[in-house]
Amino acid sequence: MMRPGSLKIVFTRVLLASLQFVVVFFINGCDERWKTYQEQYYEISSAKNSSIKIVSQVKERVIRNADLKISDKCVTCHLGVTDTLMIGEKVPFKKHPGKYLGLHPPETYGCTVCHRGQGDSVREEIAHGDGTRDAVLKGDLIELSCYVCHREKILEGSPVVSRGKQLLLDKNCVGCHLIDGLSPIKRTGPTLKSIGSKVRRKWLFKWLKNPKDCLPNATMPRFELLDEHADALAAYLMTFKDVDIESAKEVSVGDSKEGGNLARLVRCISCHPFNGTGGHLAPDLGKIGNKVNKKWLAAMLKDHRRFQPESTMPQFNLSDGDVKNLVAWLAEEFTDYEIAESEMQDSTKEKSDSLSIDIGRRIYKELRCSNCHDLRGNDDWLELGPVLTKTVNKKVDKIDFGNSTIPRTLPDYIFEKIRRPKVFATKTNLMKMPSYDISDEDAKDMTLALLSFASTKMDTGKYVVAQKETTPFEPQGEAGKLVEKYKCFSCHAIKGRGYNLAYDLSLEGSRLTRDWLYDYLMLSYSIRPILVERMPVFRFKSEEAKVLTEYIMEKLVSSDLNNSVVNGATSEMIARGKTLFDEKGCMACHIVGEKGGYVGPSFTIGIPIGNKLQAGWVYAWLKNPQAIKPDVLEPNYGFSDEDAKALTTYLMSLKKR
Amino acid sequence: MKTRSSLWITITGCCGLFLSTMIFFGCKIQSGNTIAAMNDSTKSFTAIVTSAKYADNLTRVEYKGRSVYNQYCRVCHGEDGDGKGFNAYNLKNSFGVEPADFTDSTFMVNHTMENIMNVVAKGGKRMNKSQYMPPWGETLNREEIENVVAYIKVFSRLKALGDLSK
Repeated sequence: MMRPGSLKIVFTRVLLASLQFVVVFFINGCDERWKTYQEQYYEISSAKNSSIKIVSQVKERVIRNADLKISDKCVTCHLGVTDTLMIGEKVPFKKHPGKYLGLHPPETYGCTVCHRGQGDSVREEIAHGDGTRDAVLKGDLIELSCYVCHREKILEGSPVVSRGKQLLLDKNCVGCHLIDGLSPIKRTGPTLKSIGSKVRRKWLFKWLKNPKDCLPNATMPRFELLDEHADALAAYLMTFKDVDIESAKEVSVGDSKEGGNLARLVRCISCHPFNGTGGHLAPDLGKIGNKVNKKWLAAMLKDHRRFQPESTMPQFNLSDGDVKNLVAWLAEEFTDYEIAESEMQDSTKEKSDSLSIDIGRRIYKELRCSNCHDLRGNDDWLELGPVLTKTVNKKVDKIDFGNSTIPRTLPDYIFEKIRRPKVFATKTNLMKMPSYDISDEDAKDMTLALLSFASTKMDTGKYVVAQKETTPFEPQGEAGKLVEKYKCFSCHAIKGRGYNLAYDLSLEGSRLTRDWLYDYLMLSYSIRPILVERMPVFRFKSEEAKVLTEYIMEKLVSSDLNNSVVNGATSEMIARGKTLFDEKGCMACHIVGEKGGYVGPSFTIGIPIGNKLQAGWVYAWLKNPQAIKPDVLEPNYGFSDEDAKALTTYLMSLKKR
Repeated sequence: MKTRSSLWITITGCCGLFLSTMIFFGCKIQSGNTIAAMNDSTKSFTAIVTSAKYADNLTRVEYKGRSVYNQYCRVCHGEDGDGKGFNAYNLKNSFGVEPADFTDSTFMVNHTMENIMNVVAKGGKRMNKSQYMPPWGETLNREEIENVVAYIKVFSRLKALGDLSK
């Protein structure tokens, strides 16, 4: 039986044991480094801020927000996160980089919402949680935090994930996989309905074996087909011919030299590289002679949208003679005769019997070719691969790693699947996904992009401001038709639509003079020799150039740019502008007279700046070039209003009468 | 009886102390092992994504600086930092000015980080150099300037490595 005293003893023992546990825990957990950090911080801060003597108490600091379930003591050590004086200091005093804290004030959002870690501790090892599940996110992983709350496709603050999402679209992952949140499926490969009339069969076979053998930057992946399967697929595809091309007579021999001159004039090289040299918008034409039939090439140059309605290539105004010459030039100059010869000696049998064609048809279906290419004009999509937004929410034990030796984690699985999809293939599961030969860097970004789609339980409704959706800009009337014909949006952006390869045209009507614009459209000369991708010479008809000029001068203007800044220009002001121009070294990049660098446009060669630009625009540009063109090379000199006015006056005085 | 109970208390106390210490350090050892495991698999996604080294063996700061350099500086100072950019020919012909050669290690040693940052921010003229080096202080923020100067320092380092391997 238990004596009354024994209960007391047991109680004492338990009490003492737990007390000792607490003492041990306290000794271990007692880390006073944060106090040293705070003292150091106040020293640095006082040294930098001589006018104010900073008197602050050394104490634990904490940010609490019940909505976001945070209680962050990070600012106990990381004191300078919002202090502009702390730019360039060492961790933990350093100011937080970028604009992130301006948009997410730490008083509200704390730190762990983005950085993770254990905010309720001031002991570094515990707070940072290295090696545990609650570790502070390192490297690019931090960008995943943006997508806990934001669901936008592209976020400015997360360049790596945004790049990854763009890659997912460019490589057409969405062709076979549904990804909630990325734009709907669109076929990225060319239409194949006249492929049999377009390419040579030898070329097609080689392409199907490995597209990168034919075109080093090919988008199409490698399906690792057996020779007989590639041949059967080629046989099937060759049956899709264009009646008009087949019945047309051979292209008569043109003048290759004239063709070359024309190609240089219209600047094919701005978009098409030739054996690696040139732009990057369109396929390499360096070996086009080994690839296509002359009859198809001629028909395509006349009207390429008959074959590829979605193409971004502009429609050039080519006469029959021009086409003949261009075909001659392309076929003569850009045929690799070594390849042509080896093809002649190649003795592989090409089978075109109905059995091969039937096998080809089945392979076409099996490989899901129709998810990227259209064969008959209205092909159905076939059964898709896994929905990736579901995959990223899978538990690790539900993933089939096959025989691979990679670490058993979801990110590693996705990463490896993107880089080398066949790694997971086993005898029973061959894996349909083809190899894209994606570099580690790209695969990393794509993995992060996919991980950003993982679902989260965070309810942040009132803290997230959704980005506004805007309707894309659509030019109307005659000009609208011309913009479509010449595919202006393939290079230029207008009011947020189009690409940023060439000048943004949103303010063009306030920037240029009418005469200069019309002349430039009629003959587009080289303005910035440093660029590879220059405006092609479209050889507009004069009515077309007039319509475009009128449209630009009427519609693409801003009332903020006022030409009256140079009103009442005096010779003193011009002289002052000239002095400024020389002092600031503007001629390092711009030519005036016979001297100067050639980075920006020349001010006196050809049409002088006074005849080309409008004063209001020049003034606004000088005040802040990056406000008009964010990536421009011209530095912002921080000119005062008077200086900018004097310089504008001087520049506008460089004029031909 | 009294002595026996105090002995008991001491024994239990010692056990408690021992156990709690074990538990505490046990946790620590456990987490240390996880870190080691993560570092071992250099090819793993986590290793690549958290790596401090970026393409071409650059640090994060240098890597960020490279894109700024290629955007703004390359045209005169050249892709390889040798002062032979696209525009260098015109500068020499027109004004007899040559852009600085960042691969020249003696030149780089004589210029501190602070010094180069000042030239970038304030331009050549205010630092008693050529006026044809424009000021970037209004265009780039302090962080970008720091990054780009870090990258400028890479050229002489690469040159020195190249010379060593010869």
